[in-house]
Amino acid sequence: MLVLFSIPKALRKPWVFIASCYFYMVFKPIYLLILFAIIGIDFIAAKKIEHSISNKKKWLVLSLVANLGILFFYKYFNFFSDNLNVVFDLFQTKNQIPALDFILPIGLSFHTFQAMSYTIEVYRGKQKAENNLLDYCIYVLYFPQLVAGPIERPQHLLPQIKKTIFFNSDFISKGLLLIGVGLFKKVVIADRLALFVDPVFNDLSHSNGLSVLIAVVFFSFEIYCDFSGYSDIAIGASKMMGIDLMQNFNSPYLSSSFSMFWSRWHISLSSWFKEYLYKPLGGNRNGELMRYKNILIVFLLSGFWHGARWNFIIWGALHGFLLVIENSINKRTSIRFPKLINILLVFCITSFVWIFFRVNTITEAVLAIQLLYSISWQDSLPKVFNHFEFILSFFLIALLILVEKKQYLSQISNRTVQLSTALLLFVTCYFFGEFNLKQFIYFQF
Amino acid sequence: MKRVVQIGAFILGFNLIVIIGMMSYSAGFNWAAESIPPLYRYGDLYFFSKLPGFRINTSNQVKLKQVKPLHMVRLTVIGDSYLDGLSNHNFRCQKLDHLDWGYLPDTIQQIDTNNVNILIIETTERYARWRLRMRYLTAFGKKYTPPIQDEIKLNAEDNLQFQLTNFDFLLVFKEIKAQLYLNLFNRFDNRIAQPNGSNRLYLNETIDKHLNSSSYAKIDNKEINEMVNGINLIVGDALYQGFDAVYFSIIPNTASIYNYNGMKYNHLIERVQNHPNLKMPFIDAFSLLLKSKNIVFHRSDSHWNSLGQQLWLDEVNKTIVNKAR
Repeated sequence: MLVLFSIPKALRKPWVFIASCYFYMVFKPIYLLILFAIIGIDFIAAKKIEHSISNKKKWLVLSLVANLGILFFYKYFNFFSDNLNVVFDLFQTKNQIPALDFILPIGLSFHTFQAMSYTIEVYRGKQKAENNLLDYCIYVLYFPQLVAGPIERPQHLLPQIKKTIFFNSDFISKGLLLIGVGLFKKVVIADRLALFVDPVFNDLSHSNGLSVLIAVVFFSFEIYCDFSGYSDIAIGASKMMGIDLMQNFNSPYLSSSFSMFWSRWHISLSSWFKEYLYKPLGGNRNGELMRYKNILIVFLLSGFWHGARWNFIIWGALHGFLLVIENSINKRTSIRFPKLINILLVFCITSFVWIFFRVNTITEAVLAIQLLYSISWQDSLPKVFNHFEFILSFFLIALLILVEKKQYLSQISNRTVQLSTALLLFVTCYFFGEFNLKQFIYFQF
Repeated sequence: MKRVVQIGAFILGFNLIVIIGMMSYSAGFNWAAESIPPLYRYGDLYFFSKLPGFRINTSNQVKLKQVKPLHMVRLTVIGDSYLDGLSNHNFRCQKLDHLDWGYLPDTIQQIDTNNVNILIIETTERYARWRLRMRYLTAFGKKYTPPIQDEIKLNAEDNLQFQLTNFDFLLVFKEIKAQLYLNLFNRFDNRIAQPNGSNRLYLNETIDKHLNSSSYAKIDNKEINEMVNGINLIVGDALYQGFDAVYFSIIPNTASIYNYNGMKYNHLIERVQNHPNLKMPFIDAFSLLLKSKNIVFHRSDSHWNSLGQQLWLDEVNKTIVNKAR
């Protein structure tokens, strides 16, 4: 950032491009080639789509196949081969598909989805094909949101990339404040809660009902603070360069319905699926049953997007069912609970469903649920926290809810106050943050 | 034509970025490795804990004795971090080959039978259970992959964030945080442990009775027998290779010398050293250190101090002289 604002304006965009490449290469340099392959294919395909009349669809299909092909190869090949091998075993066939041994490219699901939205939008005529390769490279590679979103749309991000990057102290202070908030969520709240959650979920056979119950509640806030913390940092870093990224979270645990929850949680992905899958499937146009079918398809695929494991698929399916049930109830009855009851109900059920997200296997999920049913108030808790830290953890959760409910941070408009708050947050993060090399949960996707 | 030039420039630029990126990536790590002070200069357990009361200067110790070389004695020492900093001036030998455990099979030298060839194999107690049982020394030439726990040092990439803040002036902030955590949350880094009322830190893996590396983990006689059989096989192989004598030495965990909260020691070292089937005598570091009236282990480092090291060296040199006669 220091270099960015000290070099001539004409060099700033190339610098963002270089920084983005370097950012990605720190993980595994060779994987940058995958990104460049996607960029190359989509850049050309979009041009062809724009200029062609008869072959539009073919070029779109080529682009989607290339993007989804890479995603499938790296993320889903072993899942399908493992499951097919189980089927082969059932039929006592000697054929086995060998597993591929490589690390999943970081943020693959995020940047392929962002790349796909570009060609789809060009195909729909809502976005012009980009002429400047550097601008398009930055659109896909843009380092603040490259590995864990928000998944941007070309209409929103590309015009901003095309503008000159200039120094603006308002942007810097707002950006720093957002980075401070994101860091606080990650290292002070999420990673602290993980200290309790991880031992419980990693050794369920030695856990008990009360530990699992608290771990489930803590995990709900851990994953929220972990992911929304990353989004805040990404949005803040981008803001400093004068580029606004879309909002990815909006107090999801204050939602009074599941549909509201999904309009507030991982907004960039939910809206992606809505725009590019739910609506093309027919959305809510073809009657109630078709609508429910579409919801279930979207949520099954959303679960699968998160990871090539059955527990993610079940997690997605459960959310799909919850939405279907909610829609169905709302349609058939006019009885409404008080808002607070609804918020608590949505939170409790969502937290319960997170179990499937946190575990590694279905067996573990079943065990966790069995433990929840056998809960006793005499159960002992893991000796990770002393009383003070336990209370602090709940206090931090309450503070988070309060700050989000009252929207205190968005009310800070004075630059000095923004910078002072950011500094205070950074200092607090250092002294009360957990720096145990735990990476962001969503990096794995 | 313009488009072709643009694409060509793009490909060229991309290649340059990849090359510069890769070069600066490794150059950055090399720079970090060379220019930043050693991580464990104030003790490895202090490094993990950052507790202000435990900052000791490990280099500020009694100097080790320099001894006269003994002609025709060629000494091969295979050991771990307990032997760091030792040189041929500390051993009564004409030539010293100092090898790390992990690199042994590929690096052992040809035996010159005109010399007295002595092999000393040292292991820390916390790794003795798998090192001595694995008998990998018998398969010279085989690739050896140490288990993860063999390396408590962090790898270079994980290390970077520690290294970049590994300066003395920043230690004050780290110490404030560590003390704050201890006072408020009653916890510190989970790699270390501190017994009640003691001014000594312990490596957690040496006191957690669920871990093989612990001084307080149960060991059945079958496993002791396997370790002794492993040692005998190793000795046989080394003698066959041309060594005139082979000696083992297990350096005890701090927790085996200074008891941790009254826990019961498993007596691994004595049980191995006094085993009736053992074909070669041990250099008994355990008894030497246990009997010593001096403090022989650092209080915030998992290793012995120079007093402990010197006691062991004296015993080793005595053994060398006896054999060379």
